[in-house]
Amino acid sequence: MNINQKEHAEVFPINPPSGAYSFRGGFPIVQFQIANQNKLLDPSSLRLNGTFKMIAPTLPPTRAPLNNTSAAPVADSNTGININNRVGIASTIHQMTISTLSNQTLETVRSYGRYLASVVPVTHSQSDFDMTNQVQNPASASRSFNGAHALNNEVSFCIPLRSGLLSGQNFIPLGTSGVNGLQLQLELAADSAVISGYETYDKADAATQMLFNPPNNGAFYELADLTLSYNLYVPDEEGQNQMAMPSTGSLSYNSISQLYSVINSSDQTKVLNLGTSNTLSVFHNFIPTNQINNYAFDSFSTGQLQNSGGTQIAPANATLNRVTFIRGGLKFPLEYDVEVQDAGEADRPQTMNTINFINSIKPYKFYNHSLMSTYTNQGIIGTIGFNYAKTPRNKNTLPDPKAEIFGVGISFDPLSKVGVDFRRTSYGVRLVSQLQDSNSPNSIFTYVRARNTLTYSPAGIAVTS
Amino acid sequence: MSIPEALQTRPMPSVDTMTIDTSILEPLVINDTFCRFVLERKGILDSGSTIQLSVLAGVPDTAVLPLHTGIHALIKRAVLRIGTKVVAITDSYGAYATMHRSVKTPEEKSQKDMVTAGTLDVICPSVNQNGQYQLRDVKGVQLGLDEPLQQTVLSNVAGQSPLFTIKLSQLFPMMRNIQLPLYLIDEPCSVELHFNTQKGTVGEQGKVAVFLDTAMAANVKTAVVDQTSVRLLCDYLTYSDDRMNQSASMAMSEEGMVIPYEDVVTTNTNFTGQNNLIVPTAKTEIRDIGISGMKCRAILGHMRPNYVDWSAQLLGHYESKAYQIPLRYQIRVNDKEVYQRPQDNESKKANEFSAAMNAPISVGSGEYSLDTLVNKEDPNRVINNNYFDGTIGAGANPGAGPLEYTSLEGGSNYMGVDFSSPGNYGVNISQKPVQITSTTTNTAQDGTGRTVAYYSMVERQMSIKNGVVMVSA
Repeated sequence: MNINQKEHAEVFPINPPSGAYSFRGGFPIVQFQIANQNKLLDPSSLRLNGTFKMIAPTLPPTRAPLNNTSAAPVADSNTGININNRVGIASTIHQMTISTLSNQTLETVRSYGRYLASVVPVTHSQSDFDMTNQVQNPASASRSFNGAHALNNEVSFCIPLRSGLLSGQNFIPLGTSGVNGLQLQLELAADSAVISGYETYDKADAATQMLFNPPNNGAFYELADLTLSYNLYVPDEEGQNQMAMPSTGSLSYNSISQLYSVINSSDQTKVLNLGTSNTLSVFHNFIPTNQINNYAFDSFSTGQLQNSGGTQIAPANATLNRVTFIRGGLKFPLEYDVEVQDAGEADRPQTMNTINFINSIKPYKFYNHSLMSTYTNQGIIGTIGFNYAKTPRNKNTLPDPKAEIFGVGISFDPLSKVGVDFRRTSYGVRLVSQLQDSNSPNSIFTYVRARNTLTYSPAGIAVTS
Repeated sequence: MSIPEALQTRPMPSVDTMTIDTSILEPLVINDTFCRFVLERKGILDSGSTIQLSVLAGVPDTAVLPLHTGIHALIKRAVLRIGTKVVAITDSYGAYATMHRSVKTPEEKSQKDMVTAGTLDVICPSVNQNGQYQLRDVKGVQLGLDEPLQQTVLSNVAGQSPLFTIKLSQLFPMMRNIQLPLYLIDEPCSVELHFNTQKGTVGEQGKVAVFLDTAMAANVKTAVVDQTSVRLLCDYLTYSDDRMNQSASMAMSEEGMVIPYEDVVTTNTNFTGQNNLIVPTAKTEIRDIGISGMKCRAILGHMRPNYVDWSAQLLGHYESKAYQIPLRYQIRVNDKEVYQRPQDNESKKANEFSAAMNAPISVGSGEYSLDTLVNKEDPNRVINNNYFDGTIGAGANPGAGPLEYTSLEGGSNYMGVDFSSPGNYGVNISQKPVQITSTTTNTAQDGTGRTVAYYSMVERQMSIKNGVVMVSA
């Protein structure tokens, strides 16, 4: 099929609110439709555009700009209000559902923000956060305070939607001989999940949390002027006629699915039914359960398992001792346990686990840009300056110390990339840690990347997972 | 007829023996404003062939090259000529190169270009830990005052200024995809460079060099090419006889050898400013881009502010300044509007520019636009949230008159639109010119006009037949 030209398309939501989209304002769902047309959609060009604004919990509600500074916030102040600096404005999207106009669901990504909280820092360097990512996602920064500072005013954004389908390189035929058009539904996350404070650090890298005060007064965010932009490729006349006629064809794409569970003991095996036949990789990230949807904590933190210490106020890392990946009761694909106890107890990089985690997100041999370092994970400065600089770079210019990018993951089929069948076989992960039994519930967010096939025919559309 | 593998810049699918013969060419003619190199008629000209240059400042140890442009600031115009025919010409080259550099990765900018081009453009969180940013590859003198690394500071003695390089593929877009078969061309091939010079006036500051001392008198802040440094390091490639003969027979055939290549057409225009405004005032400017009948891949736009005094601008004359109320534009091609609605979302404009450049733009959000800096609740959109913090000075007393990093804010605001599609170089422009409608809004704080350069990336064709080169319009 020959392509004749490219079109720059932009659509508005089909459910416009009276004001802005916001969780607090009762408009948490955004729906877009991409019409059935004899054109090809370039999924990687798709962007969500709009403006983002955070509003302070002052009384009465005010629209004055925030004043995120290093000064400690006082009651009714507009200081200490931030969103996660690694996920940025995408943290407002809790769930993304992509379906055809005939309501056949192609992909649903739940807890989208926590997915990005692992994927983005593993694949982007400090400079990427402060430069490349930030141009289109102004809340992106390597330090949380810098992200907060950028949000003092209402800002515009233009962010990619990183689902499996939309990250693919295959063009999506939108016509009758294709998916018959697409619809995209975004469910916004709760204000208490999106918004929290930021940190400043003293000379010993001890953090002081800047958090709007009192946090339960309820800072909130708004999204306005939302549009969805994308590129369409227009085939020649023959190609357009082909796309208009009902016919049979197929399209392969990756999908991201999410499962939620809780771990509350030092030796626990989680068994999950993935239900996917071409499973490429799985990764897990963790957060103490009481820190989710809690203004006082960052709901997108990706630290280690944490012990509550009985109070849940100042949790401490519960070192991961051992990980075992299981398929149908057998160790798979690693026929051994990933032993990382010694490194963890010495607060050194748990390399064996980290490499598998990275490999589950991006092939390790292509791993070249990352925020992950001994400074972010262990608080050890490993970066030195340009050769002419006599001393290491001032650590205030580095990413937040000890803001970990921790996770557990495995790539099942890094060579052939066909994937592994988990339709009739369960997936399991055994986590042996220093978690205090029954006292410290930690949430596990599991993300599964699998290859799907979409088949279209005059009878309709079918998706084979 | 496809282009021979040996003339393409991508890796060859088949293994062959290649001989590289490097000549160091001195310019045939050189003065402060012009130089010409004449290439030898042998082999294939490698697109990685490099010109080495350096700049002499009027005062030593206080000047650096414009931060995002580097040594490219020295070149005003580059011309590739075969016989009397102009094969490729790049006008307003400094701004064009600055835009191209904006899509390099921060790692490439910092670890390659700082050494080869003398640029200084990667940022990091400020040491003051105040949520703002500063330059990364600098030395801290004291809190809030940095100085550049020694290897980027200019001298006033010939042969002592740092030596930088520009590849031919950077000067001429055509050489990104094609290597010239010099052995098949009978006429002399020459590369002509027109140099910028910086006179000692406030209006000329930043044209070639930026003096990091505002307290210094302008009349000594001059900069000019170091004529003793200029060389062309020319690589001539030769393959096995079979492969060379294959290309030769193609060039000697009835049809000749036809080589499509990309060239850049520059259109210069102006957006007038409005001073002493009390309320923001918008104005619509419609500009035609004269590329009728050509095939266009992309259009890029650079908007240089019309400052009277450039002494405090770290980006020099290569700054493309964002408006406090974003510029809104729509593009009309073949009587059809490209966008469903005019573009005014700064983040989306950055995305469009990235698409036109085929790589993501890599500058801070506060460098690209003033979007995070201005108070949207204020109709005048005053800046209430600066992005940068700190200063940079140089010389024996760097604190004497250092330049503020805030001059980098909104200074990399480029526009771009991409027309390419799979299998298609771009869009065929009909007889009607491309029309760009821009709405600019001046405010009390920003009444400055802009000198606008639009760069249209168009396809041209060169044919080589019996040693004679013909070039399409």
